[in-house]
Amino acid sequence: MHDQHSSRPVLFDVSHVTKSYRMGELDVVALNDVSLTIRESDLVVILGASGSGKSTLLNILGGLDVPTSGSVRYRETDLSHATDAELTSFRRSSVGFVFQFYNIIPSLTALENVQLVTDLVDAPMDPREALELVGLGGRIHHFPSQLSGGEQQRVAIARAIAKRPDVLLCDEPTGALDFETGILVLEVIDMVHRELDATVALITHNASIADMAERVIRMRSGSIVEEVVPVKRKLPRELSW
Amino acid sequence: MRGQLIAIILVIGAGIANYVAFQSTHASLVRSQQTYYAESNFGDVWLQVRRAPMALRERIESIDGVTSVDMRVVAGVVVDIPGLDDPASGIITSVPARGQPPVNRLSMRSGKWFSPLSDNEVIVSYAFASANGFREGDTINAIVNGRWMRLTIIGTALSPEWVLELVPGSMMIDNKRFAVMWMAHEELASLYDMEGAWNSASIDLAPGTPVGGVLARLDAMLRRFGNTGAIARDDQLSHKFLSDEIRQASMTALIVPAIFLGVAVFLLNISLLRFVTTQRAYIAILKAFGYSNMRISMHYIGFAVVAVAGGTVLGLVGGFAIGVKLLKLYLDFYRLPVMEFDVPVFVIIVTIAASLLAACLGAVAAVRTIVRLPPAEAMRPEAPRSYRGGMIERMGVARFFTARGLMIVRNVLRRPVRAGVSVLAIALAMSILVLGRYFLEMFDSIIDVQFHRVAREDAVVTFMTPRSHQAVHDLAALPGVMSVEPFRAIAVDLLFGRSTKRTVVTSVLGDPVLHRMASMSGTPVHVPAEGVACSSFMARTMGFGVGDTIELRQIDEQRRRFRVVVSALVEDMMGVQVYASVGVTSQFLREQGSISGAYLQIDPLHRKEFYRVIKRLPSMSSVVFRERAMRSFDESYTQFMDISNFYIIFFATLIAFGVVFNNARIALSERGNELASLRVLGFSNRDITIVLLGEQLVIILAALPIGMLGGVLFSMWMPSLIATDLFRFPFFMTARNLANGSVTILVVAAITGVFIRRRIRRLDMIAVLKSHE
Repeated sequence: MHDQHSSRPVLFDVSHVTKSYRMGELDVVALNDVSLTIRESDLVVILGASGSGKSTLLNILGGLDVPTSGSVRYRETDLSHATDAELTSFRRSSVGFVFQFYNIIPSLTALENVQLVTDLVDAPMDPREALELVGLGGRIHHFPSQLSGGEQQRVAIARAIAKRPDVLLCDEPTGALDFETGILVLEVIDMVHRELDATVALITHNASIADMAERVIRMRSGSIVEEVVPVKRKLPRELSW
Repeated sequence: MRGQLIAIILVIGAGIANYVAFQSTHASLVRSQQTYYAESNFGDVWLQVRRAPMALRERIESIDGVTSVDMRVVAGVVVDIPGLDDPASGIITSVPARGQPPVNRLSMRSGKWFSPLSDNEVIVSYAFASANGFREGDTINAIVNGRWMRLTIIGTALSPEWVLELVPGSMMIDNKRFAVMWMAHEELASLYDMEGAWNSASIDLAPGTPVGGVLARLDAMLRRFGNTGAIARDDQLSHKFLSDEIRQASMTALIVPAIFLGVAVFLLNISLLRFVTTQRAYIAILKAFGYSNMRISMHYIGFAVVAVAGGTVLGLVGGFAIGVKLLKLYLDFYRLPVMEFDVPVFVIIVTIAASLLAACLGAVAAVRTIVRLPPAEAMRPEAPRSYRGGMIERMGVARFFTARGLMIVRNVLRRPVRAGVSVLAIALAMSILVLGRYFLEMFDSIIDVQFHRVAREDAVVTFMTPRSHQAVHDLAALPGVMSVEPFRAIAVDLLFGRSTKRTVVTSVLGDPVLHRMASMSGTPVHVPAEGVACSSFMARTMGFGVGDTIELRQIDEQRRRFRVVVSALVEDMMGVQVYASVGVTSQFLREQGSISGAYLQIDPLHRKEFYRVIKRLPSMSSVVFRERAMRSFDESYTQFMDISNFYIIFFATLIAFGVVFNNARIALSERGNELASLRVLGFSNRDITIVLLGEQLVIILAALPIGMLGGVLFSMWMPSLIATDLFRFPFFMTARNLANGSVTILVVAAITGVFIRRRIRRLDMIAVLKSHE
């Protein structure tokens, strides 16, 4: 594997990580001796089909799960042996999540959804500013049921970036959206990466999306099979699938 | 759904247990009462006269409907029990020396009947013998018609007239210090110079005989013998108490289970509806395969039936266990010879029917959902919950809440019907707690008012017949007596309009200090110099008020009448009476200075000497000590109150637990993804526990004041519901009562929170990343 931007500090150092689950009487190996690094300001796309292990890897990076063996370090912190409270604190202060199905709170308006997380941290972004950034300045008092899928996803992105996380983890952010809306969302993610210099790790099965990445990590059957640095990055507007 | 199922099973079980226990106990009591009354030939009518000849038997028997007459001698006695310093009291009744009396036959528990050569032999009540550890051959001393006698116990028995052995003139049961005794008729009659005469009778009537007519004829026949008025079985004190108890058991058996089953139906509805919602995909598949709505619905009704069946089995077993204990408790009070507990078949049938009905009603919402669901719709995930701006936005207060606070409030307001019913159910639990505590505090208040503000004497002595004022000086001369407050009690009929009431006029000299007239709150009421003061309860029942003129008719041979103005009404607690000054009653009685008894203040240092002397005073009919009376009252009712209170708290907290737990579990199920999302975002388990349980707290805080109001209203209504001539209960409400109820509900909620928090810890954050609501 190559460190494309080797001068940037390492944010995540994943070393020989294996993750297996007990499913009834079977042991399922979701990750098999995976090693990689993610540096600050990277825009990494982890590409793989269903069952490739990309979601499991994202879960471990996001502090939602711990590896069966190997080590995961976030900066100087060892996440592999962290307690639940330490992982919660890590997620609160350092990670912004964007889910496939948005997972914004239906009983809160767009503004209140962002305020929900800005109340958690010190020195957050102004919630209105975050919503303006994603183009929802005029919809801040709307409830999720009054917003389209793309708008809801943008609320989720605003919520994720409002706490100024070190890394934005996106799990199939366009998976539930139509093409145009998906492009719109990718543009927002790209903008966040460029303007806020946010580190972004995005997992997808959609190979087209990999064209906007600075690094593409391909996974299959729990292992990294390839790591590529695209010669020319495309803008989200230029993608098609 | 296991936790919810358990909560529902517990609530149903509690309701069914209550029904089974009380209904079966009711059936056992009724059966025991009817069997006992039939076997012992319990009387239908009772008479008391001053003295009447045995020759009247034929005349009485000639009255239509009269089948048997038992003429006897009944007298009050003072009893000296070995080992007890203070004197006890007793009632002694004559029975035939050979064979049982024709009416009110005794049920012998031990020993033997009288012999023809009976000499100072008595049969005593089983309760009295047990309380004092008496056996056949033991002796007790008693003053019988002024004579000091040593009586030998030859047996113990139960009597249908004394199923409840209440000390006459009080609400106390004191088996240790109140002796119910029987003596051979000839012997007792001789002791009271009543050979060939009687002063009490009990009559058996043929079934269907109109009692009113018999009473009227007896009253007319016996007027010149000092008849104090015939009473029917319904007014016989022991029977009245037992019948009231049976009636209350029947009411409890209906009302309380109805409440529980109502709550269970509500819980079943919301739980099953949620369950069906989570199983939409499976329902869709079944519909797609061609299963009918009916078949699918029956499947889910089956879940309700399983829940209800579990509760029913628990309730039947629990009800049986509780019923056995309840019956034993009754047996300690009500001396019935045959009292076996068993569950009647109809109770089981009704239980099963009610359970099935609850199951069907509980599944209504779920079945309706299933029927309305098109198969294709069911294949799709549940539509996301829709929120719009609501009440708090319109009121402009939304800005005062944090985001988490808004989540809590909006979730509560989004389902107003469910929230409303939950509030009502918890409010009901709170009301029940307040009512239960009110009973406890009320009994404490009764003791305080009756025994510390009304009765402040150390002892009250009653003479067999009215004595002259000289008796005051005689009493004052007894060792230890510091103060004597005489009274005159006159049995009268009070007439107003078409109403007549048998009561007692009590007259006192001046303003009494030892034994006062007082309202339920304990405020002393002064005896009016002119006119009379009456119990308010009696006045309300009969329809007169202050300023009205009532007629008093003395119950003796002469039946003197006296019209007097009602000067005051007293909201007293015990009995119904008329209070008058000596000046008023002396006009009425045309006798000066006679006294029926006196209230005494006794020097504690000389108490034992007083006991020694008073036991042997020949003219005494009874002597009752206030402290002993207070302790007996407390002991008599404390056990019942403690058990009732435990029962009330247990069931009320079960309702509260069931509602709070179910609501929280359903909220967790409905919003599990949302809450897991919060965990992913960096909220701790504690944070999301607060969000989830915050909704329940809002419901509880809304329910508490409603519950307090409900409790206050129940407590205000209850005294009027159970007021009788014998007893009225004051209404009052303490802050402590309301605080206790609130704290109990909050503690239950906190305990529920512990269970919910364990579930929250198990939320799957990974699943939420892939879920779609």
